[in-house]
Amino acid sequence: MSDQLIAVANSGDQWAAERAQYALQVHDAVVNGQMSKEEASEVLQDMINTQQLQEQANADQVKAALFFGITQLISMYA
Amino acid sequence: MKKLLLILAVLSLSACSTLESLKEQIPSRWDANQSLIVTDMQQMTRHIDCTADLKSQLHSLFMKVEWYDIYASTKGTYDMAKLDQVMLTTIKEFQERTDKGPVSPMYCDMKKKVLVQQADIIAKTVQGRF
Repeated sequence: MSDQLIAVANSGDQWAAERAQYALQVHDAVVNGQMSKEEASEVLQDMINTQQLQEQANADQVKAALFFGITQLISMYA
Repeated sequence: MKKLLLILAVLSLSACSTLESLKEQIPSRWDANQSLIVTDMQQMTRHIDCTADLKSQLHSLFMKVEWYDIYASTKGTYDMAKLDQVMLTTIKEFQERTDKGPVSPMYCDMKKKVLVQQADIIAKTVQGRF
């Protein structure tokens, strides 16, 4: 599991790499006794929720661009 | 006549619900108030101080996000209103844990990072509208 995160952390994708590094930091903190397992679970779930928020936001931005792009075309023909 | 009024009442209710569902499908336009409040949210998350009193900081942040939620819902900008739910949950859980007692510095640091990310995502979506 950590191997996958290490691979993502070292990938060229800056956005994903940063988040993978956060997850690895959380894991290290639990192993070193700097964070409880309950705290870690909550933070890791937050990361998943944030990823879902990002996907929703991306979809909304594309939808808005499409909608207003088409509206502009309609106004040009009017 | 009574029957006609009843039919008209039912039709107007149905039209209202159709209008509301239609509004939910249309992307909302750029809004100065939402742009201001999301910038406040970005700034507040960036300045969370894990060495200071967290309860008051989290309360202030929660109030700010709640303001955004109430405004977006009342205005009918449903696409923007649904964005803040994740952030509200993140703050509520953070508040519940700080209410129980001291949290680990690492936990606070990671929650701050997550909140900064969430505020940035919401802000980019709010500001990126036309």
